[in-house]
Amino acid sequence: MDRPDLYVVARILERLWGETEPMLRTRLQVAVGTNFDVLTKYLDWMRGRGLIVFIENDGHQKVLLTEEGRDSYRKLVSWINETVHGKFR
Amino acid sequence: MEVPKLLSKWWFVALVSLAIGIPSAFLAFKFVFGDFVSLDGAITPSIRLMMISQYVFLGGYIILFICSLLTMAPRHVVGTGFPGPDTLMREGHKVIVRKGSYDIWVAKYSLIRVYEEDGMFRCLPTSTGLWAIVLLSLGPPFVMFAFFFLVYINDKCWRSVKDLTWEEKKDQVVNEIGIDELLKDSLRSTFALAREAADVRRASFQDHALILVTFSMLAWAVLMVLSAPIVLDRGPPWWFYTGTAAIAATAIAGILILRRRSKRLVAKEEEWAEKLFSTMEGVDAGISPIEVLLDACMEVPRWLSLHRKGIWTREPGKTLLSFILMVAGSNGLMQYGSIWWGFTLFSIVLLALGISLFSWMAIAARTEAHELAREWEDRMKGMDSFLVPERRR
Repeated sequence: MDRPDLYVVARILERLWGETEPMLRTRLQVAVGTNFDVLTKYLDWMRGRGLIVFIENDGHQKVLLTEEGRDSYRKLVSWINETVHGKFR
Repeated sequence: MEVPKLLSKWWFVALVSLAIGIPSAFLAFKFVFGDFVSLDGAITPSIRLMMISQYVFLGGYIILFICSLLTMAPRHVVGTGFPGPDTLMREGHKVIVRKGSYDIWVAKYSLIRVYEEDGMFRCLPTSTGLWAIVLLSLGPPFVMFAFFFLVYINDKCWRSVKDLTWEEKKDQVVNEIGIDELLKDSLRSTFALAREAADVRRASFQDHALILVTFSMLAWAVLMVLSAPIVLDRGPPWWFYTGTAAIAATAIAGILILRRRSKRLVAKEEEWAEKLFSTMEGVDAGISPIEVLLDACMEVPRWLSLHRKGIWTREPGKTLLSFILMVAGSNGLMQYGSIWWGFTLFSIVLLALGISLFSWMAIAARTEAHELAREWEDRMKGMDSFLVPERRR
């Protein structure tokens, strides 16, 4: 994937942010509202950048946000906050 | 008591305006109308009444002008511990952040502009307040009401500054705000921006309508000047009535078109405000706050530009000054031929100054909007960097 859509990445980060436990891929797919193939591509891309890790649990693949993923989400939210306050001058 | 402190008292501003305005009006009246009214013959009651009313109207404009200067021009020191824009927004005040300053709506008709660099503030009327002043000053018999209204605005501003300063402030140390709180804060601020954008759209309709009315009045004044010699000899010619009707029809049609356009634009901003409000309240569980916010970020420069383009909200003092100059100039032109020629020349100068000031403000607003767009593009590049970890790291 050359250029991922920030909106999709942000939604994945947002859903994983609130989870303390690893999240099932299927549950994440429903929560993000995308199809399985697209989600897989995005998750692979995010794992490649160290934003998430996959965890095998009871025969299911689950997704967990890494510290770098949490940091990226935090930065994104701060960026939005600064932007809406017009602090880009 | 120092003069700057005295300027915080409504009665001082009112008294100074009257003290300077009344004698100035007398001098101006004598200078301008001295030859117009012959004092050799007997002064009939109607001439006396006309002289008194002319004097009161002229005095009203001069007093209003002095009061506007005393209220809006000086910058005053804000007290220590005066809250910043973020704190005020969190406390529920309507605040608009500008380049190097921020406006606080303290009442329906009054706002305070705080300059962060030097810790000073100015008392200004809101766009609604300005409209009220302009409408009152359009009719000479009502201009004195505009003066009292301005004094009221001044008093309201000063009382609010004291209230805001005296309020017991919470600990100013800002703890690290949690992500959820940051998201809520972003939604709140974006909602406020969208709602204000709708207000500005409504106000810009008033701006455009005012420009249209001003130009219509100017056109009518020109028509009056052209037809004046004929009116004095034989009464108004047919083309005077036709011209008046054409000017009125054009103004009314223009206002109706502007109103339709304004309704469409206001609806668009209100739709945004509604969407953000629903997200804030969690009405639709399927809505992702971050996605709505990312979409809203694309609208932020437009919303900020709207504030800067809105002539009334941008520079209320200068706008009022330009309007006073234009009204005074066109009123003076309407007296063409009946009074001293120097007064006509003076009116032309006033009109030219008013039009130049207004044009300069419009150009400055447009230039600033272009600069903002360029800065926004740079900001958007920052948004892209979230997708390129190599750059982020």
